[in-house]
Amino acid sequence: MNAREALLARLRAQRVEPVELPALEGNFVRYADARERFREALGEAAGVVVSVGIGSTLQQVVAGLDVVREARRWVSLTPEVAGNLEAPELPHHFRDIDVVVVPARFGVAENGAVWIDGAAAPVRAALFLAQHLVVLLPQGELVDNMHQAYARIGSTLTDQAFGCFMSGPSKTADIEQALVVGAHGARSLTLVEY
Amino acid sequence: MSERLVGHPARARLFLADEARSRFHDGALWEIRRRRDRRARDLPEWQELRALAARIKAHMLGRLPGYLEQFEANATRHGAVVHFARDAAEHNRIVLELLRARRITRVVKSKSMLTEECGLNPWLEQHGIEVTDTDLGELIVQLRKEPPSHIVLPAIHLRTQDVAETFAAELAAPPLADPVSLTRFAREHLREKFLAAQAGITGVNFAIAETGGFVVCTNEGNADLGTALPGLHIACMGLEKLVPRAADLGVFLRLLARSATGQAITVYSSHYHGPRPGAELHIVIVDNGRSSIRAEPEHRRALACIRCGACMNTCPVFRRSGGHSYGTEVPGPIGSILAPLRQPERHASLPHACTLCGSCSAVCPVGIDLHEQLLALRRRQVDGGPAASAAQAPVATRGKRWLVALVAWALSSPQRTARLGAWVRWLGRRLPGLLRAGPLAAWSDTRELPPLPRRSFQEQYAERRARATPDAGAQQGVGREEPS
Repeated sequence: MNAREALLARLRAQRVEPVELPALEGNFVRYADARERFREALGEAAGVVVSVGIGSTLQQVVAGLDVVREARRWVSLTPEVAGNLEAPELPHHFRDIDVVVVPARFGVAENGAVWIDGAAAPVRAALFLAQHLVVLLPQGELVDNMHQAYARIGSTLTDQAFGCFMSGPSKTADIEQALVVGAHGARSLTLVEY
Repeated sequence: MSERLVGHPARARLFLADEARSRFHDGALWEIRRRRDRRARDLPEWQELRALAARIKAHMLGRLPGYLEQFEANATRHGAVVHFARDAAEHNRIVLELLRARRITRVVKSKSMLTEECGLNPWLEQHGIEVTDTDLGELIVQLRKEPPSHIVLPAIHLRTQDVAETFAAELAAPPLADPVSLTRFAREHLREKFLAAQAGITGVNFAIAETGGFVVCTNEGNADLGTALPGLHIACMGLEKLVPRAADLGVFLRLLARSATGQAITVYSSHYHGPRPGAELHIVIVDNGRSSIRAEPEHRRALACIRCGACMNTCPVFRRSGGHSYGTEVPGPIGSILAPLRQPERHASLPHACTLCGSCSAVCPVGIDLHEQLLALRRRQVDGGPAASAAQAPVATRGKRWLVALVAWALSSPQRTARLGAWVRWLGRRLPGLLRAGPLAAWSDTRELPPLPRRSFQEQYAERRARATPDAGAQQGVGREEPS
């Protein structure tokens, strides 16, 4: 008998009283001002939020960000913004990219996370190997909590091999509990609302 | 005296010898506990979420074989290859074979307590494969050839100076004095490892039966880099990591980071469904003693653990004695349950590394009755449950049982009670000295007997009553005897 059969047979032979699967209903948190809560939560996660005001374009705002102005090579994964270079096709080539601009599907007010999947970032290394991230989020694309987030993702979860809730830039506190922003992934995350 | 100590107390003493370090450890973990409290209070539905999480896991454990098959079928449909391993050795063989068949010699690994449990690193290294732990804390302890001391904060037992010395000695780092420059140095070092890796090994935080996908949570982004670059991703998971529905993740992701570090969510919660285009994904599902725990009604709930570490951060014993004092890959309250269930004799001291304060059970996000289970394990040592043996019950515990029987006999008659009292008062005045030198020296080392009076309450009462005037008696009542 192979390991699979042996294991399943062993588990089936055990008597475990059944427990009903609970419905995921509850009085889950909602926010009167989800946008404000989202900004606050992303701020706590060391992310920066920038809005596109009246009279300026998304391209202008992104190109005017400090990380972009200082970048030698920056790429955009969406036609809404043009970088100064085409995005590489091979994952390893993102090592030389200073800034990646990527669109998010929606944000989560309770924790400042955005949902980005393979449809937005076909080469997922773009999200982790580039030095800085600029995330684009259309205004109003917010849910209050994670339950709504999964409801919104729905069956699209399995359309892509990869999908990620991302809340702020990479960080660590592994040395004496001192928070250091910029561990292995992006060293900064700027969210642009438009 | 200390040579009498074995197991947890002996190892705790090593950590406590450096008082400054122990105090730092205690304070750092307590601060994380406080952050966790603040986050939990942010959510009015916190208790509701805990109850949901406990029921989802209990349901999953009840129908585990069905969910395993469902997960396997769905994961396979997305192009992953699913393997089953009965124990650590089988797990290690499967991983080695996958690497060998592709002539892979450089592997990056992200934090996975399961691969620690299986001893994967030494096994792969023995076979000529370079394994780099990529979580910063894990890298630090790997370079020091130590196990992690905490499941979420692997290097919490170390100070900045220790890390600086380790990087200088092992990676030829220049002298660096602060966490920021040390982290930057590790970032550059590890980027080269990520870019050169031929395979990435990760753990699994949650596996979804209905979709065949799984989720890995990190703050550093190391699991993501380790799986975004090489052509092979091997994900290793204990069979209890399953949840039935994708929507269940809403509950668990809300609980995990808040409980672990006091963040609202980890920086990255990555969902994997099948391999990257042109790459391979293998999932190894491991039993290694978990199914035996499932068969025990009293301890089954321990399998609901999502490895957040909250029980460690709050535990007064863990905070002071350090993770290495447990001698297990998962330390702290949950480790003191899991390890003795697998190897009762080897880990006999762990159920006693607990004050039964119940703080662990109060913070556990999935409602595991941790302190009750620790008590049950002590009971099992005394009563000889399924996994107990005579050798396992410590001498003190067996002695206590005799003592209780003796006291019950004495207390059943007033005369015997009076005689026992006189004897205990006599003995009590001489006992501290006897205990410190005798076989119970280890026990009495950190305990003080209260001073005992020379005369019993009845004797004192009779004497005062005889002496007292009617007025004085009413005012004074019965005075308290000064300790002699």
